[in-house]
Amino acid sequence: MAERRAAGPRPLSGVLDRRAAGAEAAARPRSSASFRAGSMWWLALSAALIAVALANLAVGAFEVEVGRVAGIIADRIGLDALIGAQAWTAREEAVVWSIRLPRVVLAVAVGAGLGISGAALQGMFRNPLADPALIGVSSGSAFAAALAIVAGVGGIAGFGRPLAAFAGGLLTTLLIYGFSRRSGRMDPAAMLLAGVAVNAALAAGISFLTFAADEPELRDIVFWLMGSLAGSNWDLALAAAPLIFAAAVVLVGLGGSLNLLALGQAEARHMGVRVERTQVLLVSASALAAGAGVAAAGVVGFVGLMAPHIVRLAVGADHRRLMPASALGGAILVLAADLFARMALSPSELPLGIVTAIVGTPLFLLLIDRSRRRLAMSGW
Amino acid sequence: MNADDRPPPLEARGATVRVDGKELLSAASVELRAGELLAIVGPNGAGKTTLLKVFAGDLEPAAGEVCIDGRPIRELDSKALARRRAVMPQSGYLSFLFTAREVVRMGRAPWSGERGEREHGARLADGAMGLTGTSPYAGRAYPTLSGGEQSRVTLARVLTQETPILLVDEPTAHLDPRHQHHVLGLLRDLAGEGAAIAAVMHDLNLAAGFADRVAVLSKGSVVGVGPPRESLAPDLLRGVFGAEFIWLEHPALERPVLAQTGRGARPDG
Repeated sequence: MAERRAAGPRPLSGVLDRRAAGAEAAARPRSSASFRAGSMWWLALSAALIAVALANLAVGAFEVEVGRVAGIIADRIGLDALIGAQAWTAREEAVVWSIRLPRVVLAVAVGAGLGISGAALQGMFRNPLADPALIGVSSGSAFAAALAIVAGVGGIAGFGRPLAAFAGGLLTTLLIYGFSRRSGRMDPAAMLLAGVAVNAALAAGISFLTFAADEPELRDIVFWLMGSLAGSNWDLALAAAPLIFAAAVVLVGLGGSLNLLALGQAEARHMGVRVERTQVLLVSASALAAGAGVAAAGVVGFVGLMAPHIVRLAVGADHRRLMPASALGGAILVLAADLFARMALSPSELPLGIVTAIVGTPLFLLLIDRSRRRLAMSGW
Repeated sequence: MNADDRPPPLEARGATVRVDGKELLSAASVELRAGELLAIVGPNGAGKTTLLKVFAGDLEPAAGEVCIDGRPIRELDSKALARRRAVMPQSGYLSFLFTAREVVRMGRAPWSGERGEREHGARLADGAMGLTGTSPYAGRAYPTLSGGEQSRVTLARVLTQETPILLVDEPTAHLDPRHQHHVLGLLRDLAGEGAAIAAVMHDLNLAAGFADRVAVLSKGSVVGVGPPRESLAPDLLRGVFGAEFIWLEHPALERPVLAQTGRGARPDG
């Protein structure tokens, strides 16, 4: 840090000081109103997240009152001093604590991971159509999971399948990233194209595996490809959540650099961003955030694309706000979709990925239409 | 101007750049002095933007070197460099609907973490927007602005970076005549505060009117550097641009102007 406030001319300050008495200073805009709006949305998103989470815990084939849900959780996490006598049954406690809560934790982790990696990748590729699937995490995970199923690795309870999926997703991203690097620089356009190509190849591979699979294996593969939180348990939730949280922290820290990258790689470099290092971190943390979720819950489409777009309408383009908001938004979307998946055809369950796509598409189109109208000339 | 023997803020010595076997810059030596506006002119493909990229540290010359304050530019890390020089690109595509104000504030990125940066940065950003006349649309989304407005917002961002060295690629490209003069006058004022500014320019007459010195490039070589009256000599310009120019006394201005004549005149004029 030899160059701190380097001595030497500070031309802008000089001109401003010279003109300070002039009329220019009077034209100073008011303090940023959008920032305050941003913090309001932060509160709104958190409140929505808690509300949907409570609904997920209370509602189901077996209803539990919201007050009792809160009591059970408070009791279990050592806040029993806050509540009076236990007013719930052992069965209610088992349903909320052992069945629904791990599912909610996993839903939040999966949604947050998809949302934040979607925001990061859209920013990095400067492309609003980017989502985690683009860097191969989803198709890589899916292929590896299908391979594990056909090869007979890991039962539903075992960790073999999620681990295979996780490794498959990360390896695929690594492959695509490696391909798009030339002489120390990553070319986002090349990475987009490589992603499309590798995704197509892996889709063919998955098709082949479904073709080669026997009847129960086929059902397993299809189920996995459509995504589901039905297999949730504490082991899975507590394996995925910390990974996703760590990746999310890294991504939020890169928000300022992502803003500068939106101006272009050269411009970001001119403003002091170490572009290659930032890109490596963005890609790997995104792959981790999305990959851990996909490994645990299968392919949940659309959330990574949709969540950033929805929250961008509220919090604006600044990635320092957009990324945490996208994590919250993604978590809310997956929680809401999972609630719908459990309730729509109760007692049987819809696959989660189908719900996110069916409910998400019209919602998404509506939002795009609204935002286009609001901004006569859109930057999209 | 440089009475002391401190090295110039920025200097290219024999810089040669080759891309795919083609020499874009051939042993170019130009120094950029503190307190001057240096115009870089030349026909299309002469290497103006390449020289600017070499100055910026974007391109490492195959031969020769570039020094900032006498130190080879490659010895500075990206953040230290970002505190010494700012670069205004020719056109800016911006993904996502950042507001003009958010874009200008991005210019402070190299200084983030410094004490008092929040207030200082806000003051500079507001000031730069005032100077470039962009305050009225501070809250509008950058991609919805016109080309000229975007160009001035970009200039405000670059000024907000508050660096002693400014490298600008066609600062007047999308601007109407009033704003052309306004922006070049602003660059002059910044040079007056000690900034070292290099600007790629297309309009020779604007270069003649506002620059302290002009560097003329032709086919990758620097064929003339000096005050406008010397470097923009009609004989040299004929050879470089293939067009006829003469210096004329202007009835209202104190300085002569450069006018294009003869072959360059519009056939239907």
